[in-house]
Amino acid sequence: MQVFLIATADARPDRVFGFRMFNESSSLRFDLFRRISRGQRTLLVPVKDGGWQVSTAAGQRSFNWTDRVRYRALSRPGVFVHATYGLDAQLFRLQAALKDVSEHLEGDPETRALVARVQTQKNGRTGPNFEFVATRPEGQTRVDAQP
Amino acid sequence: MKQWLARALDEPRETYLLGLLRVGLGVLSLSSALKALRILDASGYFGEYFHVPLVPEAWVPSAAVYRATLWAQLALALLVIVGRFARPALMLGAVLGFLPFVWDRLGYHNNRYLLCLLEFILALAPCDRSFVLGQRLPVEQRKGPLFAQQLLKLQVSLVYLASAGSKLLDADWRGGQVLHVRYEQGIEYLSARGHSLPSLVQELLSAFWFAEGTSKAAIFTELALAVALWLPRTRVAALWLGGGLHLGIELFARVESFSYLMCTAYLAFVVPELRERRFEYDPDEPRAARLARLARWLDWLARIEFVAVPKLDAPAGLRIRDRDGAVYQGQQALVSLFRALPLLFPFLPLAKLWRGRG
Repeated sequence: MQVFLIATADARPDRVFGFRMFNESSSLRFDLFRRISRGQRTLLVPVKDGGWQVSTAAGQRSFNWTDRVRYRALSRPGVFVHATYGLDAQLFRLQAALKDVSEHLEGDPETRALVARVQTQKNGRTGPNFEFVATRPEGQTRVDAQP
Repeated sequence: MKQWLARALDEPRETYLLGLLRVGLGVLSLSSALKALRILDASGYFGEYFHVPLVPEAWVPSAAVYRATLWAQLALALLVIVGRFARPALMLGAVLGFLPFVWDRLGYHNNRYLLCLLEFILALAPCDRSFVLGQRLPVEQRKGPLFAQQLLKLQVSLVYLASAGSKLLDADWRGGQVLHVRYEQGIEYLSARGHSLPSLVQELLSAFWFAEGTSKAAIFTELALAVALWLPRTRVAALWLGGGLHLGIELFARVESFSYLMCTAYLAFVVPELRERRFEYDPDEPRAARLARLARWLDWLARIEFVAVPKLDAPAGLRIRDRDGAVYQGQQALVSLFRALPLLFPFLPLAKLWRGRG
């Protein structure tokens, strides 16, 4: 069982149960945006310091990325941070975080989607950039990843 | 081979060290549960904000159930430490320790997972016959089959093999790139906090050849440990090398209790039989008597039988008879002591060097 878990660790983005110690010296930075609608237009608005405000019938309401994301390695948008357990692990976690936050925006009538633009450095070399989009449809939230 | 297997798996042997290993794992488990409780109090329950369960969300418990799980872990760890209902407590503790990874894989850490595995395996071993609060069993009743101890050893080797194997297969790792970036980041980290390393050290850490060399050395060390810990001829060197590796990791990386855990698990590689070395000393020789008192106090693994021999005919009034019958006197006897006492063991090479020069 253990040999199987170790042998298949690379198939899991965060390498859980694989004993992959100090596997990379990678880092990533993500910048957050909100996709909002203004009449017929769709705008991409930067989210500064992880927070934004919206106007509702009951007044101004504040939202913050860290209301949901307490996981330290992903709690600071706009800053390069070490990718714990490797780049794949953090990219996987970031997509999950984006989906989670977009699913918990009750009371935000404005945001249609959350977008994360990601810069990566794999073992000191510039890696690919990514764009993750977590859309808020009426039903299920969907995350699209584009390299 | 057949004889070795029979001895390793079935023959009743001393379980004193398994008790000590149990206490060590119990303390680490207690510390892990306390830390989880502190995090719960300081940051709130992980299930109420972003988390990534391995199971359906409906299986993630409420905050109250999670808190109860942690308190149960704490109580089980105490039972493990005192040795009462220790084996069921180890088994249940391992399961309860594993559940949080299933509820939130963000909380996964190799050291926490390894602690669960070691607890689970140790629960299969007769580790409840020594270091039990209020109970002292005679030697014959302490003995038991140690097949599970072999599993513990296998587990340790597996960790080294998995870690070294993945590094070996990664071109960036074996080529030195991963460590080179780490060293650079370390220098930047210190510099940002107003500290600077001596220029020679800084130059060394910045040199790519150094990163490449240390990468290969790290991979070789882990691979060597996976094998050398098993072989009687290489075990002492492997234990020393492993201790050094984990000390280095502890100093330069944040790995929670990983280093302590591995060093505790090394107890599984120590020969189970007790007091196979005989320390003879002249009680009328003040230095020899003092050394005997100190060594007795430091003999945590019960390696040595201390015998006072008045008018002992040996240099400095002491000599050691090793388990293979070899007799050591003077500086050689001191080297033998360094080998047997855990606190002095890290200085064994120095003692050997000193003996060589003497």
